[in-house]
Amino acid sequence: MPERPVAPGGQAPRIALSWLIVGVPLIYGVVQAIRSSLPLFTG
Amino acid sequence: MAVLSFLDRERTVAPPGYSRWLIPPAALAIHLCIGQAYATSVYKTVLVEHFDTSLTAIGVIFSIAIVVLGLSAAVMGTWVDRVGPRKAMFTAACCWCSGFLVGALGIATGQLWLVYLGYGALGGIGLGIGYISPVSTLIKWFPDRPGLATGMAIMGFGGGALVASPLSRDLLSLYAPDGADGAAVAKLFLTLGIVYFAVMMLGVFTVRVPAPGWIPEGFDPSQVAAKPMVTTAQVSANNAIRTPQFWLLWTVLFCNVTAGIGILEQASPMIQDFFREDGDSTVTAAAAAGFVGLLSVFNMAGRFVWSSTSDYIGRKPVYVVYLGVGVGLYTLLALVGGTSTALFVLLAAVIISFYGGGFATVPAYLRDLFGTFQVGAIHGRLLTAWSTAGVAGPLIVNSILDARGTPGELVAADYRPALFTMVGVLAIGFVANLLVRPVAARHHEKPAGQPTPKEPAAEETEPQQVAPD
Repeated sequence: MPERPVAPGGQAPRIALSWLIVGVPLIYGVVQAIRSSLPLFTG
Repeated sequence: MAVLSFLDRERTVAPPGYSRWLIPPAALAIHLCIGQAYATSVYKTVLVEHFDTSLTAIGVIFSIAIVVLGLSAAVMGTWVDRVGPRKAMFTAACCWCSGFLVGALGIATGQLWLVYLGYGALGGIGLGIGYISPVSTLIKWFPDRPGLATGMAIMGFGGGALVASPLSRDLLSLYAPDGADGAAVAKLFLTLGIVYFAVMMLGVFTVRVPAPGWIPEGFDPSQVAAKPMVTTAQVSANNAIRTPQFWLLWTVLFCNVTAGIGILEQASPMIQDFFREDGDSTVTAAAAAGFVGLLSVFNMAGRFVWSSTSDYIGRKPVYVVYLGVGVGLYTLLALVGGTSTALFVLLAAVIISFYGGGFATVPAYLRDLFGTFQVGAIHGRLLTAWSTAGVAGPLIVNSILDARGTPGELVAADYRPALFTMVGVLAIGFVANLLVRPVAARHHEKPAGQPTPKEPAAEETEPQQVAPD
């Protein structure tokens, strides 16, 4: 049975949540790596 | 099993209007988790003490995982294309996370072979299937920007280590505030197994394949057909490995990875050795560790930035940059890298961004040459180049450095033979890339209506066209 079309605006919260779930850890990792690299520039 | 029928390909076809921007986070959910494979150094020394064994014996865990990654991607690639991304990603999650659980059991009971079997073999299968499963799906959702699509997914693999390293350190401190031991690492494995399974399920339940014939709004497929190095024909995985193009790309990936690993493996002692005066380095151990972290950021960023750039300048030209400019940068690193820390860091960071870019751009390159028909399976087979380079790269660099002394006690000049060897490796890759031409028409699948290929198509109703040679 073919699925019903998805309403264009109805997916925005789901898209935002999905990106948030993967984006937050990624940003955490980048921030931690940059913080750890500070001694390289500050001596 | 009926209960698992939600994993079937036909149940994952996107309904009209389904946003393709839900697919990159699904892919990232998988790659962020399996990218943990590059964060094993956090607990390496604890395991050495726990099992009372050598660093080499513990390093074998990672080596098994990477070799099994290449083998499983090569062997299971056709299956991944056949059953679709949801079942493949679910299988990857089960293997990867049960690998952690078996590994935890091995650590808790003091049985190293169980860690080899769990994290190494079982986890390695999860790595291989998980690495390739979202990539071909993304390529189909983004026919207008395949480089951006593969860059987004494979960036997650680089980012996985960035997330796992501090997370593992924090969890080890929580489980063993007085200093990590085997029991703390076993608890860490249990935690990671459970958390990663939950995150990977986000990918499993979100991923969809586009409906047959779907194209993004505003995309004109005839523009793709007009590019000389991009085919609209389809080549099966079995035919692809019979073409010189596959083996030229295998060589390109092998050379790019071998050269990159040469720096990544030695990053921390290397920067200290480059700035050693009268036996003492001007770069502290903390600064050297920071350098490794910075390289990880560039490794991840390069995957996204360079792969996206390839959509504009083309796949072949971007590899000319990775390998050709890489030759120049390695030469500069060898000759003048020791003159300034800032210059050394800059050169190494750009080199590592090319290393990451090489990984992320190759699926789009494969799609350009072989079409989308079995691009996942072809990508899987190409990843044996990564496994081979993962063994060859460190072997080449370590054997050259061993002849000069012990890393951590060397000086800049001791690295020159290794760096110039990598210049030679990159030059081979550069020539191999220049030799890549469009695939001959005899390898293309027959147009619809003529005898069909033996292996099921990734998209069974996908139109099969034959482009002029």
